[in-house]
Amino acid sequence: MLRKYKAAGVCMVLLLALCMLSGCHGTLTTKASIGTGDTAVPAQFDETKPIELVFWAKNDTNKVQTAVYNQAITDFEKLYPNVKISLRLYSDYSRIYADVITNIPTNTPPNVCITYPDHIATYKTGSDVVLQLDDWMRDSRYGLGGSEVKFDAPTEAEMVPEFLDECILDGHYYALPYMRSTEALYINRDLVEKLGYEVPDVLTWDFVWEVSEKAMEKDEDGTFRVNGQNVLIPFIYKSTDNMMISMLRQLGAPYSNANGEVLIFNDTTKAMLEEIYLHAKSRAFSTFAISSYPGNFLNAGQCIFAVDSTAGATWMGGEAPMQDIHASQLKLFNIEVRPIPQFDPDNMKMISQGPSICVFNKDDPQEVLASWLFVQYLLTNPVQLGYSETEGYLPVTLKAQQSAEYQDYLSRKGEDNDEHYAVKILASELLMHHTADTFVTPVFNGSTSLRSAAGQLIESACKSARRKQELNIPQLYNEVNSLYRLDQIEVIPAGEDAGTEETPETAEAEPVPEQELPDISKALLIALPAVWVLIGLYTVWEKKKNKRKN
Amino acid sequence: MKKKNNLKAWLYLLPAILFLGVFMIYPLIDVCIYSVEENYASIARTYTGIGLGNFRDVLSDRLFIQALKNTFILVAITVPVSTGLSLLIALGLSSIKALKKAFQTIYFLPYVTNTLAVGLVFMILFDKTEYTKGLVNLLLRTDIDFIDGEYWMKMMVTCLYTVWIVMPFKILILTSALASVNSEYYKAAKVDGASSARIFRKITLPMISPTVFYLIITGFIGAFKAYSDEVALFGTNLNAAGMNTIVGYVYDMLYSDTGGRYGNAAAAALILFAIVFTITYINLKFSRNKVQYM
Repeated sequence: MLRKYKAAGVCMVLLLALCMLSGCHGTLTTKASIGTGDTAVPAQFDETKPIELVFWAKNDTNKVQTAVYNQAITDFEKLYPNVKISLRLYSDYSRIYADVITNIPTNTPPNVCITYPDHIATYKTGSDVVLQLDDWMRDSRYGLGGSEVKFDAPTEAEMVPEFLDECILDGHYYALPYMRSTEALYINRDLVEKLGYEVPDVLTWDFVWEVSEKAMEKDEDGTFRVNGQNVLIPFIYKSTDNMMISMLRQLGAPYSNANGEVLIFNDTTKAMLEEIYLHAKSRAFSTFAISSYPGNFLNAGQCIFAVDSTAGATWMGGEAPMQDIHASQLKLFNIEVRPIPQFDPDNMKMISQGPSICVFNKDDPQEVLASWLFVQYLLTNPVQLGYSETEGYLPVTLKAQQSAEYQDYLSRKGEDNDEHYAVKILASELLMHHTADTFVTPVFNGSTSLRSAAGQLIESACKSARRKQELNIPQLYNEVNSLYRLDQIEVIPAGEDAGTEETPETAEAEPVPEQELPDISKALLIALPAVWVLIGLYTVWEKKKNKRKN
Repeated sequence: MKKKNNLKAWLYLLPAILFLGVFMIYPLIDVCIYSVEENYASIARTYTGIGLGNFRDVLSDRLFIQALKNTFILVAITVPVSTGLSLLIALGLSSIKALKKAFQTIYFLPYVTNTLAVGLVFMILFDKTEYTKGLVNLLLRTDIDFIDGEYWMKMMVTCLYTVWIVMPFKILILTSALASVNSEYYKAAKVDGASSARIFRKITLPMISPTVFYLIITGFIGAFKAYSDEVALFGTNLNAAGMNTIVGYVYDMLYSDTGGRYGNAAAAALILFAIVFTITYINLKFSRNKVQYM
């Protein structure tokens, strides 16, 4: 008997110990103090202390990009022999995001990470997780281009101001831009001209819709008259998120604000969706999610207008260095690169996109300083030029853009179909000449969901058209709202500075109304206990029966 | 001496106990604790109170209800269909002599094929693209969008896929079970003039009932944990496709766009646990009288 108690006691102690361990993962609070990430810059970098940094980055399955990262690490380690950097490569940003948010609770995020500002807004919900860079950028010794920095880093004035401003979250810098791109309209000029049109310098939405609809005419044998093939999607947009956001911005219609208010469900959105629905119904328009990569159709002569990132320019054109379709399907044609379609050509708007670099706070200030120095190294000309020339990216520093090397690179446009592929350089120039026309959307915890919702509205409208269903806008708004939980995005009350150090007391400020459970949930909640009661009754009955038998 | 032996035994067991404690018991307790921490913010590591709010949130979430519905339909269709078909095929394989090994290998192939590769094959069979209607549409001379169309079309493809994936293992196990039945019983039955159907009901089925029962239990558990098959068919945005499962819902909660919602993920995981545990217990309880262990 005593032994039984002993064993039970040991089990209880073990269980209690495990429970106590589990209790380490959080603290009860009604006010989430997120801190500002404002850590002081150390007076001196200790170059005798061994430091190990972890750097997470994305490459577009491009070996040259990987080589650029590795070269940057090697060169930096030569300058600072006490620092060792290990690189982990990812093939998409959502994986980096998932790994970062998993590692933050265990204090194991990387030191430096290439990511999107939308994601940084979520990382920042942790207390002092992301380093606030204001003081670090302006430090006279170790700041941008500071006196103690051992390499030719850009100064703040040498950064492209529009790109730098995109890294301001809640009134402070929490990142630096790494590469930038925008979207471009890649056009099969031959097909446009065959339809009796000239390609203007700036295309309007009306022009693109008109040409696309005209291209749908078929011959008696069922092939499309304009390309003589069985397949034609005149207009394909790769990122429907960007399509919706750009259209709204061009029309000055609301999308969201910095406080996290969702304003997308408005009449302008409705009108745009109705127009898109009509063109999807006639099959003159499709999206990447529904059809596939715009570049594949463009290069096969099965698409006239393809909107894709300028960073993807190396995949555009029959002679493009990167191809995703068989050589026998490729068509040679004259390709034009233009800004995305506009509502007002005199007031152009195009999205600015691309990865940024953020530094994660660590207990050791020397480790943070080493990370910061490495971030600066990623902004030096060799890295910026090396990476931007791999795809149609644009360097984020004026120093790199204005350098003789980059100017030479641009001037050699079309010399070959690889390093100097004309479409790639044209795409980079498009952003360089229109930097002032770019815009970004407000960033807050939940802005990623809103972006996805914007794209989903177009995807759903197109799918309704393809299924020959009516477009029910109120129902679509409801579905997308709940699909991306937009009603759960925390809105900072108007008048309150989005840059405050503490989030508002949500529980007290806005009590969440208790929702009534759906019938299925009620049935589940009744059925499960009821089944166990029945099992209990059956067990008792069985025991009694067995007793009687015996 | 006995005490010394006991100590030795505990020492031998210690690695296993530690392993189970760290990787099974501790996470289980952790999940229970997360499930009652309301509004748990994984990055800030804060929560606003203790209670059943996470369960209420999950049970009133339209996306969870859809995932619950999908999972139940999947379980209700695939477990009986796959077990029944496997039994039929196993019986067929047991009764032939020529090419038996070759057929066994062919039937077992899907089991060793990567899920995503099988998904690709199903795409070729069912997916409508700009270039083709898909092999099934061509054969049936129809124009149905199986992958991106109506709900029941998507569910049918999912069920077919699941049945096809799980059948090889079941066939293998059932073939072995059938081979282990003592042939003397069959001889005796034949001497008594019993029909094939009667032999199957009175000899074969009772003799292989522990195996069938094992396959049903593991089938239920496996089907309730479905997720990767759906991703292979419909991509990672299963909510938008309307084909998410409970496990998919838990995954979405862990990597939400606004940071990990561990509380909701834990609550959904415990609801799934309660459902699976209840069904497994019912199976165990009520099959005891029917299953004949030798």
